[in-house]
Amino acid sequence: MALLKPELYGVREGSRLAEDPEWEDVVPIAHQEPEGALAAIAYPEEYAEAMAYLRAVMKAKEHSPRCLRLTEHIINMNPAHYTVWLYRAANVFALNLSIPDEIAWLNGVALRNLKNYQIWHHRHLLVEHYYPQLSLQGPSAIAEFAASEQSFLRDILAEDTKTTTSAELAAIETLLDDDVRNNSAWSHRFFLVFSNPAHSTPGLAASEPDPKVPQEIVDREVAYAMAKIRLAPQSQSGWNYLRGVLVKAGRKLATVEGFTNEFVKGLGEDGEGEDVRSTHALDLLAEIYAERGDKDKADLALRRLGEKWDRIRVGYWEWRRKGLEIGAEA
Amino acid sequence: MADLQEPEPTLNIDRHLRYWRMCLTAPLPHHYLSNEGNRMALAYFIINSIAILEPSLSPSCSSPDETSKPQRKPLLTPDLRKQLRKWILAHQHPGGGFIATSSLIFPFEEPDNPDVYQSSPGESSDYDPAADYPSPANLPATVFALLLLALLADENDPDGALVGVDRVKTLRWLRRLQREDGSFGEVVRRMPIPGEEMYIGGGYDMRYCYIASAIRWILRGDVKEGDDGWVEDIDIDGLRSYILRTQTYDGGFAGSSQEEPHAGYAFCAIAALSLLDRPLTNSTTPHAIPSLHHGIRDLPNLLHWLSSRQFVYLDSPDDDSSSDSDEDNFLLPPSPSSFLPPNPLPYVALNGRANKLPDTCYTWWVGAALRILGHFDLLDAARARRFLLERTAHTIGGFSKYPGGPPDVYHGCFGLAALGLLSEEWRARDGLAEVDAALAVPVGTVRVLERARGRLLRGVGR
Repeated sequence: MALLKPELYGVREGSRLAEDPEWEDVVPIAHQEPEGALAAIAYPEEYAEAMAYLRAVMKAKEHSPRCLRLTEHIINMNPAHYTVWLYRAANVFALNLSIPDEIAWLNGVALRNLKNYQIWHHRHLLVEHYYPQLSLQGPSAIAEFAASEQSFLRDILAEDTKTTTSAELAAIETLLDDDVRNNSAWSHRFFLVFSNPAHSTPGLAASEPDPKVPQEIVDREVAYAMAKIRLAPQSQSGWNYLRGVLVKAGRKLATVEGFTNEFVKGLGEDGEGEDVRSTHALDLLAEIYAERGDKDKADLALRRLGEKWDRIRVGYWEWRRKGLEIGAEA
Repeated sequence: MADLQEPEPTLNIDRHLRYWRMCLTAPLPHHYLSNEGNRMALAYFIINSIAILEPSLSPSCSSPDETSKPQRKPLLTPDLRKQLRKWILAHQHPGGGFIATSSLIFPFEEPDNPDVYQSSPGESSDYDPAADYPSPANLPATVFALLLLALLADENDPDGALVGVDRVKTLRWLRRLQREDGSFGEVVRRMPIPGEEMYIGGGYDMRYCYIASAIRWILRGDVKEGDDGWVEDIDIDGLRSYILRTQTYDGGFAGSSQEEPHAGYAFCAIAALSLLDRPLTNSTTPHAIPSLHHGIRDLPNLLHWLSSRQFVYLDSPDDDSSSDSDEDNFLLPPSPSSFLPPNPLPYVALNGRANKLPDTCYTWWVGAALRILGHFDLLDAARARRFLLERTAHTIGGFSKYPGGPPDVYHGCFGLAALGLLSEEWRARDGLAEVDAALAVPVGTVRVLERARGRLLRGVGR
């Protein structure tokens, strides 16, 4: 591995590849923009030079420590270049390099480039390749690796609050406590609860009722959603979650009618009599009324949404009203 | 504050053309460096935008009203079209498909004895000599290249738009990108790993499913098995069921049914399904799409989710709407009583996920998805248009991602594409081409593609 880490032996500061004795046997293939080229980018000289050397080694199908360092150099300038990542992976595999070392390097790149797709793709590729080797070393090696991966995920989550992939329900609750409107966290909670292999049927569609989910878990999730909705009644995430839980449990929407009514007062009354604190509650009520066959009341709820409470979606509410006429919500 | 009673804003077409002329003629600034690996995509954003803006000047686009247009010199002159087509075809990979960036084109040396590698028509050969080419063909680059060739068709020979494309190799390469679960990767590469040499690269990404369906529609045609030019199809049933499985509990579509749905992925899922059912000719007229209307498990909930991507946009009081920091990531939905009549509702913005910030491109992704589903009237089109024209259209032309941001070619393209989805009346007012919701190019360009495919197929065996 010493060859891979020239920094241990002194780095040549600011030197260009053309002046680097390590590259003197390589003739770079400079890129010539043809006439009539589209979308040329005014990129720095350093990038152009590195790409010229990359072309030369890719063409020669060279896999070597210096190629690996070249990919790192380019990735530092343009971490989104998928071909360079793929070439890097080919070098790692061809040189039979240590996957944990590569993952450790990747962690640093990932933390500097939170929104990058390639960091995850590269990781996926490395782990896929590493797993068969790892499984030969037995379950404790796998567990140790899993723990280090989880630890990295925690680190990157701490950096990127927009992403939620933690494996623990508690972590998701913390995110929702921090911001009840965090839709990613709601989505991930649904996955954690309803795709848990301990109490769910594998392979079901998201909106397919699952009899294997215990009733106490359904009760817990309904109560959880209700408590969070009370904090932000106009945030749709909690309502979508509540409805999703009921459908997954095969329960009637009417089982939450009392709760939903807390947010809608005096539907259809004149003037100040009608008060809607959440359009999503009124939306759900319309579904509840339709579910029990009370078309007139469902129609009233949808009409009031389009007329007064949620006018920009009047097209949608009118479509729902038409659905009532033909006897189905579809 | 603007209001619907105020005069409707107009699209400043000259300003937009100025912006795109700059993108066409000068190199893009260095902050596009992260897209250096995807230049074909940038090229598509630029040329597609010009085609949408120049309906009366482009042979591939039908004009809403030719007589009322001021005379302008076209940006895409016949000579330039020819030159650009040549540039695009130079990206064709010897193994089929296209390379995503000029910097990874290499001179290709044909194998000494090419006959050895020639597979009989329709047979998928495991060994591909071009797999040794130093860089791979790329799936998104391939659809962008094909669309570009149609957008840049020779005015006197639009049927020849795809001449030069190796249809058979590209379709065979496409098959190799499909995984066993029906999904697609973006590249297939030989990897120096014993036993698993060919590796399908790219994440599990709905965008690749969409693009694979589009390439198949553009190139495959109805050649009968055994005839010249026949290529075994991709696994359609596998792809369809892979896509349909990704609907989420709240009605949207995601990378899997266990992830958070996203409007871009929802568009890709819907457009991909529609392309699998799309007729080969007269495809811009209404037709049945059974994969959508009988395939999607919970269509009412999908429409609910799509229509919920719209929200009332209010300028923030401190006019600090340009910041895009994590603190602003989640939008606080105001109480419904803030928007009661007779208060005006000036703008409708769209987001990609619940409680997220507005973004120009979602007007396209959501609007186009609704258009394909036959429910475009669920979009508040007038207020959405006003948001684009008064809040994200930039003073130098183009569109930005969010109000106050800088313009970029991606949002510039999809801002225009979104306006190209609107009714004929709006489009005539704006002077824009009608845009096909599934293929994201002017409908005139779709007709060019239909005829150009026919020409490629007639050329088979010659």
